[in-house]
Amino acid sequence: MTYLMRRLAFMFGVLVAVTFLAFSATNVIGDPLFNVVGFYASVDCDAVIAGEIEDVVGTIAGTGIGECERVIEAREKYHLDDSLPVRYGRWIVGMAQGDFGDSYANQMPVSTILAERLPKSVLLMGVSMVVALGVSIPWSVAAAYRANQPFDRASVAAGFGLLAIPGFALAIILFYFFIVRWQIFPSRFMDDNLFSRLHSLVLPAASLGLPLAAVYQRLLRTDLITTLQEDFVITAKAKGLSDRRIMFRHVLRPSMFGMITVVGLNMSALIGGTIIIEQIFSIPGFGRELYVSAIRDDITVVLAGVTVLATAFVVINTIVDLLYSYLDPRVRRAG
Amino acid sequence: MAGALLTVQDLRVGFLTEQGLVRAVEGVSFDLEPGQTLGVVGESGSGKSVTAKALMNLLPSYAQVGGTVDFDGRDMFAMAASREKHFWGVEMTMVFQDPMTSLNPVKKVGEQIAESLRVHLGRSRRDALAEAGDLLEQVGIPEPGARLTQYPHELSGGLRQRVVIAMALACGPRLLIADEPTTALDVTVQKHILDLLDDLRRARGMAMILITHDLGVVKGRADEVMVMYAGHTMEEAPTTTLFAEMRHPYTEALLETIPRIDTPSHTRLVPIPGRPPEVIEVLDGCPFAPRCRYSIARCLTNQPDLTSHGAGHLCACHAPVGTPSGTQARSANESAGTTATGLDMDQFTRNVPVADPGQSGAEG
Repeated sequence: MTYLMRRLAFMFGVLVAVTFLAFSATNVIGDPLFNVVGFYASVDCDAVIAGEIEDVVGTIAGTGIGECERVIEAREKYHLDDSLPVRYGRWIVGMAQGDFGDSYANQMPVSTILAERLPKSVLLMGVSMVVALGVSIPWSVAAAYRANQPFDRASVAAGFGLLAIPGFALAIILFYFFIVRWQIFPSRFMDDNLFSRLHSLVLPAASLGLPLAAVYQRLLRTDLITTLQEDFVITAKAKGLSDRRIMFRHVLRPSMFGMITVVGLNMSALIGGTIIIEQIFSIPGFGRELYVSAIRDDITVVLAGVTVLATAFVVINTIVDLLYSYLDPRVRRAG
Repeated sequence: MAGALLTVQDLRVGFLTEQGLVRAVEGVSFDLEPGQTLGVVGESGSGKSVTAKALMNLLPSYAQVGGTVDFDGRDMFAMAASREKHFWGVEMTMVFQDPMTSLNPVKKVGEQIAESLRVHLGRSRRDALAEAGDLLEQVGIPEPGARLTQYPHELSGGLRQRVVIAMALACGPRLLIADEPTTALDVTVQKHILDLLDDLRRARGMAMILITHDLGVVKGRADEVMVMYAGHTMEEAPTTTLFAEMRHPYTEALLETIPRIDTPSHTRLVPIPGRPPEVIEVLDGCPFAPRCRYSIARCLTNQPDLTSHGAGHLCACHAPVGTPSGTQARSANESAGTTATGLDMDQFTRNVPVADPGQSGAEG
């Protein structure tokens, strides 16, 4: 239990650090005021109010009047006069209450954007993970039984091929054959019901999941071959157990460490992959939104995105760490 | 022999390697009566563990196995070929050398014992666990109920070996093969485990093959002893006969390597110079001849057959210990200073660094 508490405290610390860095970066590198009022952000409105200099009303490209009022209004609305830690604190408290701020680009609440976009990306990542594990585990088992025999050699070569193809290239190849030529899958995301959603996600998930499956297969195959040489496998054989039972009840579980670790660490690759794959397959998911927002400096959306992704990454890796102790009871005591 | 539980005839095991066919077991034969114990003794590489693995059907698929093994009227290799599911692990089971590695580290002790009961005897999970608790009690583990839910790493080496024994006993085997069951354990625990095996064997009336490199272990525990060297049977006899009138120089040499409580202190142990050969080529002579102080010219050219030296006593030697030919061979070698294979006789009395038998003559 104390182990769990320590893990959770650690996870919380990482999240604070990540969000603070992201928040500082977006607030220090760019001027948040610029995103709201444009070039007027550079007007020294304090001096205007004090009467030291004239307002710039109407002097730049014939824009409207009272620009300094707009600037001050924006500064008040977004609390830009406060110090960075105070603003960060306000932002965090807001997020904890479900208020992620409004998008600068279209004034929509970021929480609404998240609610609409995030589930599609999560579904895509989930299906990709199912593809990656669903392919790699049976594949590794089949290869480990026949280590260095023709099937295994062929599968090593196939895995290499799959590893060498970037996900987006695989996506384009799949797109051409299954969507353009054979028209088996829809060319864009169909959001009618769960079946249509899953149907439109088959190819994107394959593009994301298959290269990952090749990575996992390499790791798991090696670990399975190593475990198969352990003494306790001989004991299990001497007990008269079938090969299948030995593999799935005795060998698989202690062989999963390497793979599970990489599954956790690979989450960022999976998240990065969704940005491109959502673009190729026209999926209105969160990855695509994040990409667009980053291009147009929509800081609140980008920040919300970074926070969500960092949280997901840290949570998943914490789960991986907890899985170790499930997979191997010897870790529990060390924890 | 009528009534034998296990009859092994001319068992041969070879492994094809890049250097050639390694002949790990060369024509081993023996009978085992129900309820009896056979001790199999030899150095590392003598083929005793390979023999056990051949009997347990545990050899890798590339092993070349020959000969016949009959278990209570059933042809064992035929059962292996037809993938008999409920023979190994049920009627014939095995206890391994190192309890630190022979238990699955990620499964609870109780589950590992219960597994055989569920797979072979179709017990429910709950019944199997209850029986596993009984088995733990039988092998002398305190608080068996609490142990069931523990993992192997939570137990000591001695307790783990008891768990391995409980696993082997689960389905009520008629033959238990114990392959160096105490080699990896503390000396203080060794005797407990050996006594436990003996008690269980007697209580259950099962037969046992006790494999060891230590002649002292089989003394008083085995009914019959088979001494193996380089895959060959060197000598086979009822245990009392063997210790009273051993015939093979290798058996004698093995015995002299064991410290005894009744010899005066600071008595040097006598080493056997050299190492067991890797048997790749078919040997012309006796495999032990290069290390034997009784060796005569004939040992190099003719492989001795097993010949009878009394009731149930077989020995494969041209100059057996305690016979006129043996005595003559040894005294001739002693007066010459070297054996027929050129081995310096001094090596048997001094604790000299073990040298290659081929070079030792020049050094002397």
